[in-house]
Amino acid sequence: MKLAKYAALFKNGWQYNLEYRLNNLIQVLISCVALISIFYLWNDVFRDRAAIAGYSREQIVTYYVIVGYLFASIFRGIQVAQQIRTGFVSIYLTKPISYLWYTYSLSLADRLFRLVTGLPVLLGILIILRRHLYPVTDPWAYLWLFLAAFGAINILFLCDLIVGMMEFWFRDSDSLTTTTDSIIRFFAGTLIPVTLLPPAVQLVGRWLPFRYTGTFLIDTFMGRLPAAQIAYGLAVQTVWTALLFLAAAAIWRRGLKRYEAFGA
Amino acid sequence: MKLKQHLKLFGQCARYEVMDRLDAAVAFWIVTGGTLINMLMTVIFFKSLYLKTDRIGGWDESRVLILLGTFFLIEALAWATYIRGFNRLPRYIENGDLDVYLTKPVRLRTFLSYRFMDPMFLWPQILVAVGLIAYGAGRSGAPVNLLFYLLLLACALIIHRSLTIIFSTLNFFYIVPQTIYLAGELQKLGRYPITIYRGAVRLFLSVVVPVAAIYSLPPRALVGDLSLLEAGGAVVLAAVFHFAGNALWDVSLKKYESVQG
Repeated sequence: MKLAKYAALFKNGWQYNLEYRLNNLIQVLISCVALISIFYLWNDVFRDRAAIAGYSREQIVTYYVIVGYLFASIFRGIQVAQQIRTGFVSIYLTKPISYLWYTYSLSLADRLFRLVTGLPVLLGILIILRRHLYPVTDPWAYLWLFLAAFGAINILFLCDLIVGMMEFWFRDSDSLTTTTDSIIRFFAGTLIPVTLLPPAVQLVGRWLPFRYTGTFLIDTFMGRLPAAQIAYGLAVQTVWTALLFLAAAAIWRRGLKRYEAFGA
Repeated sequence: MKLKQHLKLFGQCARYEVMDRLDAAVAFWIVTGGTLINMLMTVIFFKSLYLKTDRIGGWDESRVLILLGTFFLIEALAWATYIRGFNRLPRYIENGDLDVYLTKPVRLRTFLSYRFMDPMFLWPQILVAVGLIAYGAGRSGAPVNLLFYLLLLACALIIHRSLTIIFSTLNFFYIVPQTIYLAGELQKLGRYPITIYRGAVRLFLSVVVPVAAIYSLPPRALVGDLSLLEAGGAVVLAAVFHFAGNALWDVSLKKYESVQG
């Protein structure tokens, strides 16, 4: 596999996003509205206690700021279902390029672009909420967050890809995305840290990879996990990425046998 | 245009949209399943909070369940009717497709409120929402005042639709496709008891974007926890928003430039 062509695709994806930077910024700003309720809600829950399940009030506020920023940037829908439906995929079947790697290159550019353009917004929020945040001074925490975020990007991309490829079997599989997105967000801990969920729900979450795309990242960043658990979490991310990649490749091969290039 | 003609158009739109949904029956069931899962997750979220605290903003769990049920009910009714129409407005303005509707003998804002309705999408959500409200009311042990609740619910829907119209009109001045998304995010702030908010934010959510009147007042009315003065205030607010929304729409429509024409 020649990496140069995928690097060029990454560059194309970055430039495409640059064209729609205002649109991206507005979306990030709108996502921040949810922080208002989260801030007041947890202020109310913490009114007569110092900690809940090991989280201080400052840690909870920091949790939502970082998880909100990360998910607004790295959890992006990809157009696989639409491209299968419209026959767009056909173009890549006759070219010396892998469609899966093509999609990954563009998707990676999109997600990294949003991480970068979201930084000023994140900085603004950090300044506004500075008195309510948990300070993270350990430089290693930033490195762990970077590594874990990369693992999370891969897992989320592969899940998106697999769901999108369901279009090979039934029309309008976009509807499935709405459902899976909600499940992913929930078990990643965007609504509430996974460790605060009822035990039975946590048990379900343990069998899914999504915990390692949200709560794990923030707990690692805030130093809530010992080094051994961080290493274990990163290893779990790698195993899930490998499993999902194998599943995606198998689904792609089987799906292509059913592909009718309708609309191409 | 007379009400009778609107009702006839309403029936035809409903029939057309049902046929359209039946064309993708699998998608319908998946979307319905997804919506119900979404609702379940929100309930689990609040359940998780109530495992750690007994009150949120002074509201116990049963009242918050009524609040959530009311939130889901209003969202379901709005998405099944007017939001779908007003969601298309930025695209129609951008492409000049609004001409097609403006040349028809029908009041546009009323027509858009039901043209893209989804009568099938409506029912599963409504059933779950009503179930939540009934369960919450039963658990609260308070005497239920259904008529009072329905009055406040009607006011809530009028304010909600007016807000949707007001946000949509921004597109006549500058096209921002995310306006409905922004309105939705602001309205989501009403999923929580208004009493958790403080200071300027609470004032903003009570008067400017009154999610307090939309979501927090009907549950209080149901369990007899709302004064007549507050109910009167909600009725006045609904009337103000209705007339303000319509007036703003009429003024903004004059800004439409019809890019095709």
